[in-house]
Order: sequence, then structure tokens, then C-alpha cells
Amino acid sequence: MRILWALARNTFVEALRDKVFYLLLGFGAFLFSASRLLAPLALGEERRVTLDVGLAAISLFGCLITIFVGHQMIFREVERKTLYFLFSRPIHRAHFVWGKFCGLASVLAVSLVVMGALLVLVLKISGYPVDASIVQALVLAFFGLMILAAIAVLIAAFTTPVLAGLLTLAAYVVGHGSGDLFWLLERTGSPGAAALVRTLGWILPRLDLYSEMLPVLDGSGWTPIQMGWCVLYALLYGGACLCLATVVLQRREFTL
Amino acid sequence: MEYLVALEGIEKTYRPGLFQKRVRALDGLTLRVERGECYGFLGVNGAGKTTTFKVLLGLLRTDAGRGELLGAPLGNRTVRRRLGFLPELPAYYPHLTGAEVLRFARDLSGVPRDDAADRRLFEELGIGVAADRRVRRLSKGQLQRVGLAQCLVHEPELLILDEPMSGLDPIARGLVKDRLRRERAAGRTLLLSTHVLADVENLVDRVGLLASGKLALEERADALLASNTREVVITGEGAVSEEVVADIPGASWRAGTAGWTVSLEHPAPLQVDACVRRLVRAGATIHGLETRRDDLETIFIDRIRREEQA
Ligand SMILES: Nc1ncnc2c1ncn2[C@@H]1O[C@H](COP(=O)(O)OP(=O)(O)OP(=O)(O)O)[C@@H](O)[C@H]1O
Ligand SMILES: [Mg+2]
Repeated sequence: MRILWALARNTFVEALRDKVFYLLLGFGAFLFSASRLLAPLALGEERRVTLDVGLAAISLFGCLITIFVGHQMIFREVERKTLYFLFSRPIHRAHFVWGKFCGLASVLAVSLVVMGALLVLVLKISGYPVDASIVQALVLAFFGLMILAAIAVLIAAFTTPVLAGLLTLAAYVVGHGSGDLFWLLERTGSPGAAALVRTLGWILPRLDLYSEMLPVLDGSGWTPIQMGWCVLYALLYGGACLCLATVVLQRREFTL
Repeated sequence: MEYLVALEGIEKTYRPGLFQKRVRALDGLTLRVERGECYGFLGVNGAGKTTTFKVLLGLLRTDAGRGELLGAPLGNRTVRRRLGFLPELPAYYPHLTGAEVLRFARDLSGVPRDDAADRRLFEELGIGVAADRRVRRLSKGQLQRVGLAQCLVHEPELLILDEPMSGLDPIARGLVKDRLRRERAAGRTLLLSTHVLADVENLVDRVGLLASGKLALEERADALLASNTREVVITGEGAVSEEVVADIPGASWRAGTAGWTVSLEHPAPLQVDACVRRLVRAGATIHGLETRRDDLETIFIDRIRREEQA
């Protein structure tokens, strides 16, 4: 536990030193300008547009932060030879993987709190009502990002930084499109497509589940059961990715 | 006999990429380090010393052979609690200060934090300034010693040090060597690689020479030195002239400032004895007897040359 904590804290501090939170400034600037420029264009739908753009931006900036922190986090340990410091000690590869993940997860948690607060602030300033469904949406966004973070760690375990960044971005895009993809495939009605849907359903991350807008826009929110399923899915999917990452690192040679 | 390091027939070939040349770094290496001894692991650049250490840490897979570290198979996690490792060209997280590196090291090795002890350790190694300075701003020699400190904080039974003296000034070498001597005196086991033989003289108990991926030579350091008596020089005065030593093979007589010197080149032990007796019988007064040895470095350069010729 102490090992995990030490590793996670180190990853977190490194991310801070990499100025990851500048991205948050970018988010703030984007959000404020969007609410000032875009919302007035949507006559009568200002709140809807602000929320819509805000939540989408939170998801997107979350993805950017994940890529920014994740793409080189294992490569750099090898490149800088700091792995010697870690692996000459009683550290399991799983410690390393989970330490990296927890560090990244805490960066994302802090970012989400900040971004969520900014969104609420913008809504309040504009005089729009704020209800609990926004908090629900933020919690879901967090678990969606946990899935992405676990994927990022897995990818970082076996590729170079540039490729890792691109693959993580691809996972984000595919993950958000996977719902639509399944819907399209099912509509073709062929048995082959159905089988494909079932297989892909197990493999592709269903990130679209974590960025649904409707329950927030109409204020209906999610039921505890719906939330529960989303959280459970995130835990299982993320856990599987991290286990796989551990296996990859165990098999990998470090020539340093 | 308990071995803390035991490698047997280790083979390792680097396969860098599809179209790149393979490098056979270890070719049947057998290496044993006993508990409590200090083992000097020598070899020219590229001999495979660092590769051996990576194998011991479980960072590389081997192609053949078996190995144990601290009594457990290679790659065992828990025994590394009892291991201290100094990599060649050590590097730490640039944003941490020296003191933070040691704290991190303690956390990872599962020993309680002790900032005061860490500071004492830095002082002892002559790098008090490193405690509060970020790793990024440390000089090479300072960083090297932070590296040594981080592998001592958890008081490991076994120290594996890859060129511990590299980049150190003479004073720092002295400090580090003193510390390593004390580690050995405290019963710790040391395995250290080096090129600079002067650094390990009077420190190592045994030396092994790695050449083309296996041990070309392994001997007790004192035996190696003793078997390499280059010259014994006897000084004295009295009625001894050149003729007295003329029939002793390898002996030569020279007049000195006060009295004379007789030197024996590469003598067998009994030869020295015989020579001294002869001189005394001839009425000489012996003032001194000095044994001149090749240092390890000369011995090894010799052996390496011979290896290459063979
Ligand atoms: N990652 C690698 N890929 C390919 N070849 C390598 C790799 N690392 C080392 N080698 C080769 O393996 C051989 C042994 O290297 P190693 O680093 O173990 O030598 P060394 O004894 O530590 O040398 P030095 O005294 O210079 O530190 C060398 O020929 C080296 O070029
Ligand atoms: Mg080396």
C-alpha cells in the first residue's frame, strides 16, 4: 500500500511539473468564450448549449490530459533509467502499473473537480439553474475517464510515446462512436453483424455511456441502477486493462 | 557455503530489432558470490558486466542458464528488500531533492523514514548539499553518491554496484571506499564492477574477470597479488660483493648510497630464503627487505593480452 501510494504520488507530482494544469486554463478559456459566443446564437436554448458544450469540453479536455500525462509515462521511466531505482526494490510490475494509474487518476479527479466547478460557475453567472444531474454527469465523466486512463496505461506499456498518444486518442474516438457503431451494425440485420456486435461489445470501450447529454439537459438524471452499472463496467473494463498492462510489463524486457 | 549471487551457464543475446545485428553479451557465465565477501567484477568495456546485473535484477530474460539472487530464483520480488543496487550512470527523478530521493527509496523498500539518518549519510559521503538540491542540479559526482546513498538506506545484505567510483574525485573515492569497507566489515556482501583496479585494491576479497561473456579468470585478490611478486629487494651492508650473488638465478647486486642492494626478479619463495641466508653467511647486515608487486591492473592487462593472443 505504501509502495502504491509513493508511486502514485510521484506520478502525480511529475504531471504537475509537466504543467498539465495549463490544459485546465485552456478549458476555462474555451468554456467562457463558448458560453459568451455560442450560447447567444441558440435563441431560447442558451442553457442547453452551454451545458452541452461544457460537458463535451470536459470529456475532451479529460482525454487530452490523459494523453498528455499518459503517453510517455512508462517510456520516460525507461529512457531516464529511473526504472532501475524502482525495479531494484521489492516492487511488483502490478505495483508499478497501478501506481501509474492511480497517479493519472488523481490528476484527472482534480481536473474534473476544477472543470466541473468552472462549468457550474459559468451556468450560475448566466443565471441558469444548476441541479444534481450535473453532478451525476461529472461522476460518470470521471468513470469514463478512468476507463480511458486504464487504456492509456496499457498502451503506454508497450509502445513509444507518439504512438501511445495516437492510440489513446483513437480509443477515445472509437469508444465514443462504439454505441453508434453497434446501432448501425444491428440495423443491417445480418447474423454475421450480430456476432460482430457481440464480440466488439466485449472489446471496445463503451465510452459513449459516460457522456450522454440527455439526462442532464432535461434534468431527469440517472437512476442509481444506471449509475451502478456504469461504475461497475468502468471498474471491470479498467481493471482488465490494468491486468493486461501488468502482464505486458512482466513479459517485456527492459534493456534501458 | 551460502551464495547470495549464483549464476550458472547464463546466456544472453541481445536482439535489438528485425534487421539489426545480434549481440551475444553473455556466453555461459557462471558466477558465485559468497555471503560476506566482496567480489570485484572486472572486464573491459562491453564485456557484459552491466548485462549481468540486469539479468540479476530480472530486467532481462536469459536464453539459457539458471540463477539465484539472495537464495531465490531470479525475478523474485520480495528478496529485493535485501538488495541495494547502484546502476552505472544513475538517474533519479529530476524534480526530487536528494533527501526526497532517499525518502522515496525508503517508502519503496518498506523501511521507516528517517530524515536525520539520511542527512548523516549524505554528509558522510561528502554531499551534504545534495539533501536540499534537486537532482537536476547535481553534478555527476554528486549524483553518483546520491546513487550510493539510495542503495544503502534500507541496510541491504547484498550490494550490487555498477562502477561505484566512476566520475568521483580522489577525495570522494576515498569516502566511498571507506564506506564500502565498513559495509564489508559489517558483514554485507558486495558485488562491484569496475575498470579502475586501484579502486578495488584493499577492498575486494575475490576478483573475476569477464571476457567475451564468461569468466576468464577468478581468484582471491591476495593470492593473485602474492603470486605476482615482481621483485624482492634486499638492502644491507657488509662484506658482500657481486660474486656472492653471481650464482643465484635472477639475482643482481648493486652498490647503493650506504651499502648495497640485491634484487631478485620473480623469485620463488624459497629462493628469497636461500638468498638471504647466503648473504648473512657472507657476513652481511640486512637492513630491509621489500617486495614489489604488480598491481591488479598490470596483472589483468597482462592476462587480457594473453587471452587475446590465444
Ligand atoms: N540494449 C542493447 N542492445 C544491443 N546490444 C547491447 C545492448 N546493451 C548492451 N549491448 C551489448 O552487449 C555487450 C555488453 O554490454 P554491457 O553493457 O553489459 O557491457 P559492460 O561490461 O557493462 O561495459 P562497460 O564497462 O562499458 O559498462 C556490449 O557489446 C554491448 O554493445
Ligand atoms: Mg557497464
